[in-house]
Amino acid sequence: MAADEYTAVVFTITRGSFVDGWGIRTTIFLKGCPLRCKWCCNPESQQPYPELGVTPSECNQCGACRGLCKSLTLESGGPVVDRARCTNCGKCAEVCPTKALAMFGEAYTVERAFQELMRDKAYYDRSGGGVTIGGGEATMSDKFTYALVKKLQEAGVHVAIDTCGYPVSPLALKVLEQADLLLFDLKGFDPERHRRDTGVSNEVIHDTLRHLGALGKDIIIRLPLVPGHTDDDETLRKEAALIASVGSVRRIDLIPYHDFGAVKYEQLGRPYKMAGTPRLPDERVEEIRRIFEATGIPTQIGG
Amino acid sequence: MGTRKTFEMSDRVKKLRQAVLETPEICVERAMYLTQSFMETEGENIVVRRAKALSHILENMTVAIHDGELLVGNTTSKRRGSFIIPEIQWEWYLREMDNMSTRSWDRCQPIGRYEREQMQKYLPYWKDKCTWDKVNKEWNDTVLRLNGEIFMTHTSSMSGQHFGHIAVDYPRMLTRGLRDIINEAKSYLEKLPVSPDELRKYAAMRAAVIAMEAVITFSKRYAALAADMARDEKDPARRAELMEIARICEKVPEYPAETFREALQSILILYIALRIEAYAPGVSLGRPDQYLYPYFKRDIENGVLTEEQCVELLEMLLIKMNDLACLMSSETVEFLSGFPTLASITIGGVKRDGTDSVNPLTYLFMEAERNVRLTAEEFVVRISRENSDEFVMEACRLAVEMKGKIKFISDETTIAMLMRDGKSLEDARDFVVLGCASPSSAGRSLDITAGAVNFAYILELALNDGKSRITGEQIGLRTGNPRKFKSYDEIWEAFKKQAEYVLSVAVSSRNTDRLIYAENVPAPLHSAMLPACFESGLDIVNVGAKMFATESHGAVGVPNVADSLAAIKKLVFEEKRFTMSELIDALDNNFEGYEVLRGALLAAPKFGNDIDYVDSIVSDILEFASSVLSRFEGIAGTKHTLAAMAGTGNFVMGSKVGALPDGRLAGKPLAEGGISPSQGKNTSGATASMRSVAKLDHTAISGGSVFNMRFNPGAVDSEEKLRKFALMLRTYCETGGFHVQFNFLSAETLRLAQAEPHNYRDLLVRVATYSAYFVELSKQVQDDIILKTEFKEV
Repeated sequence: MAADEYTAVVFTITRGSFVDGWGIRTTIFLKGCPLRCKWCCNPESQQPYPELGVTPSECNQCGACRGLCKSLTLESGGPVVDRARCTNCGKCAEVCPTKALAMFGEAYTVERAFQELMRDKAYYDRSGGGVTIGGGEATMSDKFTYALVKKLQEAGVHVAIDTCGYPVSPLALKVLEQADLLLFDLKGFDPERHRRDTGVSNEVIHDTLRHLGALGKDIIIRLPLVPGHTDDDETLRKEAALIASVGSVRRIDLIPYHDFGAVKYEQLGRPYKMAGTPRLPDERVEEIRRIFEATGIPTQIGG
Repeated sequence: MGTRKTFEMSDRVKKLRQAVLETPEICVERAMYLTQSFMETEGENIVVRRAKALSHILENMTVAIHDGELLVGNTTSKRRGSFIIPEIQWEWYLREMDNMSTRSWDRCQPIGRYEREQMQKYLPYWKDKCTWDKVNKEWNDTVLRLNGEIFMTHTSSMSGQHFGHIAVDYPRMLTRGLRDIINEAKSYLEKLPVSPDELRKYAAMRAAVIAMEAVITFSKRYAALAADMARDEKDPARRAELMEIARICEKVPEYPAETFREALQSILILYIALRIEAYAPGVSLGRPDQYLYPYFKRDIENGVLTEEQCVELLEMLLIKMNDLACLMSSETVEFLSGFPTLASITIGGVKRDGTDSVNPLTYLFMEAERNVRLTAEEFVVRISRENSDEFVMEACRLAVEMKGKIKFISDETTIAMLMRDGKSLEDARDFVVLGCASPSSAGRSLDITAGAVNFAYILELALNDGKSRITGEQIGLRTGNPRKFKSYDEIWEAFKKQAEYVLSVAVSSRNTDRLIYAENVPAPLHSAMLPACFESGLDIVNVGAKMFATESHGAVGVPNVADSLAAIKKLVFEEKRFTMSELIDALDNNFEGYEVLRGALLAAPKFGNDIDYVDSIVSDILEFASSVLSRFEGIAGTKHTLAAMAGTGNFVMGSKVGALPDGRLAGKPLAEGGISPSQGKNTSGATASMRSVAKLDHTAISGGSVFNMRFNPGAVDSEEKLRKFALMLRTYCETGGFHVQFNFLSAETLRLAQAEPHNYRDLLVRVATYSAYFVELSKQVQDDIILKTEFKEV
């Protein structure tokens, strides 16, 4: 297969973004992630295939989906999907006029993604921006992402990868090495707690970070501040020390916990494990910002 | 912060500002004195009559100097007043007299007994004499059938206004003084006029002398008043100020201004007189940071002016521009709600020689506006590659601080548009933007945009054999049963035929209007202030501006048409998801029972998402309409051009149109602005919307076009994000965009303002292209603003 034909499942493309790296950017979000963070705000990005999202409140009872599928019934409160039987084939979403049934994710070839991402080239050039590939975890779709990064770079586009730092293959690591900028997430320091919170140990992640630092790659560290998980002083101090030792970190972005993703769990018929988690008070976030700023690296709140 | 210096408003400026935030009051003086004069001058040459009427108004209207003012002059007898323009329309004022304070749009204060009596006494004089009555007698049945149905406020007489959209040659007046121009006119009057042209110019020069003398007299009345007040003034500081006012008003505009303050007073008095003579939104100051700069520079160098004093004077000037809030009939106000005044000031861009025009005074104008931020004064910021990042950043910062308001215009695109219309490179570079977003040449040109043509309605005619889907009435041509259309081309052909027909009626209607204006409402003061008119003796309404005259027709709903055509092309003819018959049934039933079909239509490509499939159809429509208009002749060689602007007419025009194949339900508003994507349909990010608009051929819409975007304030809440925003704007301007303006308001703020209007009295929003106080708008317009796609920090 030619590199242009590799595919990945894209769940959204955001143009004209002022965050996710330098300048004005387009961010392409790919589905599939090796981690399962309890606080994940993009649960639709975890599985590498398109998934059915259900929003019963959008339903207008038109009946187009009635009798279409054994795993779907139309009830007075809107469509109800038996997730155990649903194959995410997407036929019901095709007929639904109100998007009460809608698919998260669509397959893109490298070529199609490239064409789409090149549209704002003039904006990247004028502002020192570029493309950010996020997810999910962009390196899960290693062949696709590697080909896309190369193709964009050859066309003169700056490429950032938003990564959890957990490469699933040698090629996945190469993707990170190839990127012009890494938005690198750190989610706590204690390996055991990290495993409980995200499903994997953070040793690989820390190794990857040090490796990329040794190569001198531009890195922006992103730290989700999740109450009771990643916000205690000890964790934060150890993370700060790790970041300071890497050497090529250009900025630290603190991302205070929010529950904007909760609604998507409902749409996917999955439980939201973080329900009831409070937001961090502003003063505490500012306190944390000072901890990281002490490393001498510019630290900001939000991405 | 760079060049920017911050000056806070003084207490007296704050008080002056507060006085023009009130609900406007009707003032009958203009109508009274105008009518008295016309009763006395029957039978005389109309140009002279108009000059005499202006003179009679300016000699008799109330003059007042308010506490703390340094610049003086009032457009009406009220602090924020509305005058009456009976020579255009008279009847509606009497008809609507009782509900003007209670109607849902643009309310004024209840009309008092004295005003009622004067209105009843003087307005009926204008029966069959006002332009609207005359135009109605001239229009044939076809025009009458389409007016108000497909066209709105499509002619000046329909909207009850003069032409507006003009910036006269202020620098000529400042440097010569009116006396010098009067003497030139008088020297012409010494010769015997023989040829018809000479006879016409002879009358024009007589009128010019009367009109200019009237302005001098008007100024001297202020001088006398200031001197009187100075005699009674106890406070020595204020007494000295009043004596200075008296000195200045005695000197200018009769003689050349020599200081910055004299120059400001001079242009203010002339500006007021121009509004009184012939008003419509868009009477503008041109590029004052350019022509005032020599006065500013000299005063600063001589140490007679500080920057702080300069800003205070500029604030006073901007506040003065807000003393008029022109009432319009309930029919017109639906199209232009929010008291649009559009008194534009164009800054930025290049000079005639192509170099950066920004100077220190430009920044002080911006600083004054940062404090004043009212509705009437409009800041148009030209963005050129020659302008510094610092200037563009300051303009963006100002826009964010004012929640929008600033109008951004691409220098490169506009210069190309004007050159295609035949203007020289130098004149094109010296452009200003008037009215909603019409490029024009200050002191040289009259480029009028009046009202609008409902393109969504034209599509409905093509898809209903020429009939309105709502009333069933035959409005357009019979272009065949749409159920039998076999291809996209057949639909496009039907649309073109209907459009050609409707546009020809539009031109007929407009030309009728213009002929009647030429005969009945010349504007001798305006004409004296435009060198081309003054030299030829041809009045501005008689196209004295010669080649610099265009008449544009505003297209409304083009994005709806393109979205609809794209949906038909894709779903009916390419994917064959349903038939034309099914589609027409769905439209006839306003989609009731056709929810699945409507869902497919809604999911089809929409303008504003950088999808060539549909964006190219927008281009097709604009290019076709523009080429049709270019074939028609206007009066005295005026060119007819296309614009894409909707005012607030997208509501009332939407109410006339049934369900459309873009999935829009019957009666709902059409796309706002002109080429702003349909509400909530541009979901692919800000740059995608910008690219959709920038890729259009803007020389096909040389009358101007309007693109509005709403940003969440969070998207620009740091210097870094603001810098990115500024560069995004620059890219848009450099890649083919023409106009863009923003609302930086979150939906939450707007909802709060709806709930607690008293707490948001001065909350400005962008409506169409002008700024309005959110709380003075109808709930329908408010809701539509809230519905727009909001670009967030993403």
